[in-house]
Amino acid sequence: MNQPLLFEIGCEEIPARMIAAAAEDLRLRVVAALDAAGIEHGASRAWGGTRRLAVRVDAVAATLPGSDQLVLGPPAAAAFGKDGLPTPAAAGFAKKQGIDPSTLQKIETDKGVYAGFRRAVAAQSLEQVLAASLPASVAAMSFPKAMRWGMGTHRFVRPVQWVVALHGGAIVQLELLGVPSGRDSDGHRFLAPGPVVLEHADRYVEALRTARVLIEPPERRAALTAALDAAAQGAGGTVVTDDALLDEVVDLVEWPGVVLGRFDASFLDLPPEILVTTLKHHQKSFSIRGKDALAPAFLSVANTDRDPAGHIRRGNEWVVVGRLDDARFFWNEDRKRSLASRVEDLKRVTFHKKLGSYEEKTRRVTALASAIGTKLGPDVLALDTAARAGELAKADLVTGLVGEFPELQGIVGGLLLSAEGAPAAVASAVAEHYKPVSAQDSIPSTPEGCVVALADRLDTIGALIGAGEAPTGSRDPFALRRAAGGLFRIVAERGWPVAVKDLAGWAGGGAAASAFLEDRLGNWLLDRGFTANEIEAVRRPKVDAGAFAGWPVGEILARLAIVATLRGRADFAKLVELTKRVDNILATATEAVEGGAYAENHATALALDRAHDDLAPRIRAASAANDFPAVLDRLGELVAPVAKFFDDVLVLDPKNPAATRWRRELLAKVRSTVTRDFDIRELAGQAGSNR
Amino acid sequence: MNFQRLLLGIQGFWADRGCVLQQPYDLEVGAGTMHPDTFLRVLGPEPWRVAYCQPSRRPGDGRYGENPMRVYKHYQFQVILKPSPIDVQRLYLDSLRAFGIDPLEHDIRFEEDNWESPTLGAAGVGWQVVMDGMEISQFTYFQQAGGRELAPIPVELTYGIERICMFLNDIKNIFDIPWNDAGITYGDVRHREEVEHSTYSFKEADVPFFRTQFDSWEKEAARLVEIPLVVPAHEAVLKCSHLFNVLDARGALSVTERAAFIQRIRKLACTVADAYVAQREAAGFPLLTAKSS
Repeated sequence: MNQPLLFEIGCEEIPARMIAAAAEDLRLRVVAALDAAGIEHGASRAWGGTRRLAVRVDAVAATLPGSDQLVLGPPAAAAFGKDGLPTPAAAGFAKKQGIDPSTLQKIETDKGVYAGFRRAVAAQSLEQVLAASLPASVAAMSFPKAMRWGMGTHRFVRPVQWVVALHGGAIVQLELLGVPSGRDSDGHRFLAPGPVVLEHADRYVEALRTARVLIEPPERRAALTAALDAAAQGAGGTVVTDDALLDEVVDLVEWPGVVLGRFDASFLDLPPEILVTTLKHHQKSFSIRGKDALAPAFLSVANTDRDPAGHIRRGNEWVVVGRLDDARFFWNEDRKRSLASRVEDLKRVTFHKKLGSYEEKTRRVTALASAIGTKLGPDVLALDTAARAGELAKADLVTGLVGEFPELQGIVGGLLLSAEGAPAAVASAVAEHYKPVSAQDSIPSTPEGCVVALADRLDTIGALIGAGEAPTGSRDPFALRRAAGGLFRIVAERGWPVAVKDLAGWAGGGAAASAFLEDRLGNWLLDRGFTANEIEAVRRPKVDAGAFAGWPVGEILARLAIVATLRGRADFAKLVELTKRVDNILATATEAVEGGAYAENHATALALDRAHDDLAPRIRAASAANDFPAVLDRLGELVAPVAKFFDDVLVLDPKNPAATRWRRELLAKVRSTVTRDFDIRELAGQAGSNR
Repeated sequence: MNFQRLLLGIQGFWADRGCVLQQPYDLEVGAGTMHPDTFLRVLGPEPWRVAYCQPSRRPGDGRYGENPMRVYKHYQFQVILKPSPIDVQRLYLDSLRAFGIDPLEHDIRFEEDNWESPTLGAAGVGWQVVMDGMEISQFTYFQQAGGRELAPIPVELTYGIERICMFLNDIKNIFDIPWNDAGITYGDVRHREEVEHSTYSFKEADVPFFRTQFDSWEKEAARLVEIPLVVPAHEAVLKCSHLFNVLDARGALSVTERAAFIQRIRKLACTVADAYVAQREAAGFPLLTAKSS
């Protein structure tokens, strides 16, 4: 009978950043072991926690039934002599297969008669299959960092403490990384010490919950979020939400709890960005927003929901106050000098060993920001603001605060400029020029900030690729690919008429940088969910492959967004099909047809001709106005006349060469209009794809 | 619990678990790891268990005795268990219980923290043990030392005993730690030394003199390892390491020069490690013969 299969590998504390990927890797390996052996099974899922990786597969068969395997050798004609005895060829085959040549039989197949035999494959138990394949597979799991322990014979993410392997209620006997399997799991290290005896593979989540381990990540997350909200409310405020921090802490605990700590209100003199970052960076703690400002309190996540003696609160407060003291010290020190005076100090900070210091980079970025700003023009941005922001953009790298909190680069520069009374536009451009820092982050809020962000990334890409640091394979130590994605987003979201060719020209770095940016544009579009065919459908009518780079990124994106709306539209599926038929007809070679007048008299053909001549100028006009939804609507109107044409009219009429010529010309005209803006033929069979 | 009672307690705990109770090394070191009973004994196949308190000097951390947390010299309690026992986390938690920490009243977590010592050619994988938001220990499974892959794997437990003592006594300033019950504080014992050593490391250390010494000890280490006199060679490397730390604190080294110094020390440490293993091998790895631990 098919039963669920459960594996749990119990480990010493696994680094939070590795848990989810490791659990998924284990799931794939268990399923692969079943599939490779041909064992029937249902759906599977993985769980990861601080001290365990677990996988459950539903409805797994207990045995792999025995079978007869047909093994074919040489053709019968070559395998048996006239006397009916095996030839040397047949003997060689038999020897290789380890059988007696006399057991070879003639076997009829679709392809002819062959010499062959049937081999019985013994039935195997699930346990035999898993014990034979899973240990090596699990031992081969890879982690960002693995380790050895004890005698040093095994390698895993952390030392393995226990292994659970259950099929239904029965133990699957095997050994993973030197640890024999059983049914004993372990609960929360302190709140529920001692083994958790699992009676059945089905009741894993419940059994662990009883032992104070929330193994379902959404459950853990919900418990944590609720505890954070309740504690913040207790302090008269709301949590300053931070998804990245929540993602991390949720994998640091098995039984989440939250402690509310307080600090002296005098620390609220610090800029909120610095307060929040100090709490997050050093203590993985959340800040609390009060009515008008931050509250003098914080929330720390604990691996327990109790604090009977107040030690947890007290300990966290103690450390937080020390950290806030440090932050205040740096903030006071950093304000003793103007940010501008620090540009000189950038001479001693190396950008790259072949490319000199950040002071040199600053000069390049400033010049580039001016060049970009000039090209965009004074209607778009204030040129002097962008140039000034470029000059000051990197100066905060030599402040104490950025030394302590590298993630505040840019932001500290902006805060210091505001504190010294610099123009708000300059402060904002400096503060935001690292944006977007992730796919979820927004681009800088001002055009000047965007220009500095472009200049900084373009310099990094051009200079580093020029210095031979282009990314290779999975290696991208300077995150140039992410930088390129940032460039495309900024110009597209701003709607600036900037093409990859322009970006490559600004970046310098020669053909290599240019090729890199073109390649990244393709990848960036794919990353945004467009299919390769959609990209091709947009590219081909307009330009050849090399010239795609000359097209403003925003325009490419706008057209792709329109093409993507065709997914699943039946009328366009029909139009695609009809256009392909047009292709076939036009591709058919015909004898040269004498010229001469031909007066078409077929009503359907004339109707298509009229429909086309009516629609074509309107399509051209809509296209010239970049009104691509209208282009598609007009194209949609062609579906019916073209379909009727194919139903009613004979195009290739051997008896009437003049009519054939006229109708081919009509179809060529129609195809040229249909594929003028989008080569929709690329979309054949794409109707089902999803964003 | 006063400072010396905590120290006695932790020593007693590990002494009862088969550790050789060793004494601090009598040279300047930056960490307990540099003691030959760690750095050399973790090499090769022989089992080893040792515990000791090692006063550790970090010239760059000196704060003239004015910072409540940071000091030029602190006391590291160091435990090496080789091979790492499978229940070492339990042993560690038991040691905390031994000096009165009830895990049910605290939040004790093992958070990823991998350790690397470029000067010793050593690296390990493990955690910082965080109690109630505070780092109280480093817990490291050594993977390499002296540039050599290790097997068996030693585990190193390092307790920041000042930290733990401050926490147990709810004290905000390291110099207020009660050293004993007769009214003597950590500050009474150590404050003057902190002021003087901070002044020395940051202001007075004679840079050319330190550079000359570094070169001399480097030569001496290379000479000794050839003979081989392994422990004296290791001590010469420790001298180099400390001289480098002072030069670094003094701000005398540029970035590239600093990297070059680290490489020079690392190279010596690796040759010492090789010489040690060769010497133990020639002796037939004496501790491999069954000695009950």
